[in-house]
Amino acid sequence: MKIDNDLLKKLETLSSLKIDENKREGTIAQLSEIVEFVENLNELDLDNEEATFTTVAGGTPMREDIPNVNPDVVKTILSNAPQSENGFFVVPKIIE
Amino acid sequence: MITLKEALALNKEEIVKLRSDLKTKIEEKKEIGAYIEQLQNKPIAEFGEGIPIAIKDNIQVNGWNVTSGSNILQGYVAPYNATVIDNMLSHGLAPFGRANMDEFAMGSSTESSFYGKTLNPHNTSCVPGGSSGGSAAAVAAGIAVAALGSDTGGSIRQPAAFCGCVGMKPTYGKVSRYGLASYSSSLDQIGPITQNVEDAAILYDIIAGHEVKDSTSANIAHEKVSDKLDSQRKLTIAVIENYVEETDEEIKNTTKAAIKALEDAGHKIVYKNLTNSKYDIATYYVIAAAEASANFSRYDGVRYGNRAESTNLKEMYNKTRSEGFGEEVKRRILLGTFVLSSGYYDAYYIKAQKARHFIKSQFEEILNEADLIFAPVTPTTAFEFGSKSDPLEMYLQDIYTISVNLAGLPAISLPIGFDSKNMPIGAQFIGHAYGEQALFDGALSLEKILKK
Repeated sequence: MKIDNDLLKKLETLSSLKIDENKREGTIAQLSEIVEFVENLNELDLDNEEATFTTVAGGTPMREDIPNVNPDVVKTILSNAPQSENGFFVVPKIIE
Repeated sequence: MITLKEALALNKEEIVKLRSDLKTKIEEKKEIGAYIEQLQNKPIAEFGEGIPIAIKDNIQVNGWNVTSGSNILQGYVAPYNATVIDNMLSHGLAPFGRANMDEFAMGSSTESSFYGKTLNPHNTSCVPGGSSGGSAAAVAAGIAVAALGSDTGGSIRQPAAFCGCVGMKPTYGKVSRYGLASYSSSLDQIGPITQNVEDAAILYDIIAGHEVKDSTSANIAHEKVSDKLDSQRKLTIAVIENYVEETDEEIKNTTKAAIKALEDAGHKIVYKNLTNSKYDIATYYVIAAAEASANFSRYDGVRYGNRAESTNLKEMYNKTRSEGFGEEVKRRILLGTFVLSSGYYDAYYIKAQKARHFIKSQFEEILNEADLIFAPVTPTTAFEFGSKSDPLEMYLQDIYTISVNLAGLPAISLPIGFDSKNMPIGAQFIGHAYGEQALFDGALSLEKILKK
């Protein structure tokens, strides 16, 4: 299937990315080429295969939800964050 | 360069000297660009005082800038050690230098790093492979005792083959991913890149084991392999004949000579075929891109790394991500978003999950009759910089390595010779899940035969 500009716009919105004007045509062509290559999978008969996959035998374990805070980790993260104040991350205005 | 096994016998003063000599060598061979510090003219990153091991730039070392070779993680400081790092420290090893890599481990040449190129020590106009190109080039150039890399679709084995060293990808779950920057969580594994097979076994033993903080870590006691290595053990080895026949003439001939040597050494060789590897590539790019697009939503400029100047939150997300990620990373996020989006999910993502079962069962069938599989690592030896400009062409570099990650199996790449331009040729053994002992035994056997 061919990716077109409308679909690219939708993907940009979903992934919070903006592709530059001068790169759109190239990106569309590359994505279309990759998607067409992926369609090779249509040649396989996969009707009887399971639709979920895990390489972990027995699935992933559950554990008790116990809070575990290392204050040094918190300190390192906040002191290197783009902007933080009183233990919070500061971001630009969300609502005008 | 001293081997890891030899380094483990050094006393404290000798290790101090080793570290200091290594710093001098790294400085002298700056042009290789294996370490990010070499590319940035900075002193080598250190933690602890043990035997120095180069660390790929996507593995957390407390207090280091760990950036996955990306602009978006500039300014990030790792707040804790990955499990593999803590395991190394408790065995007398210490992280030493940040190894260059393709941005977020997405590539086969290390050309997409934010920091610049790493050169292949065997021919500096050629790539070292990727994505763990810095780790492999450092070992090959004699400026690392050993290194850690990560392998999602071949990112340890392919650069090891291009640079003429040993690279090993453990069974999925054997080595904890706790502290490894996630790319494709169901495929990623950390593993050793070393000068020889025995060193790979030693480093693998040190980093392997269960980690409660990692729900994908296998909850089984680690059985040490390096103290039981047996190159005399006779194994049944299944050669993937169609892969061998497809490679270029020189790789084909060298691989066939290695097969002959294995047979002469008393191993039983059987010949098998795997389905056209185009299905592996297709499956991989759907699954890896889907998982990456989900994992990379965390890079939004709120909590760490680079934040773009903006007046509102939505613009901050868009600008931070568009300016922070490189071309290939953006391409895979868009592709992953596509295969997971409503209307395309069943036709692409579910189909790839089903194909993954099909690929795994093909391996199981062969491994029912064999202890190990033997196959080429790459279709050609190391290529020149800039020669693979089309993304799909670059993806096809991974045709012989990717299916191993999809099936979750262990594999080891080792050098088996050189082509007429003196570039290294590698081959890989693939083992049963958790069958690392046989994997190392087979690899050691071949290494010994070829050294004769």
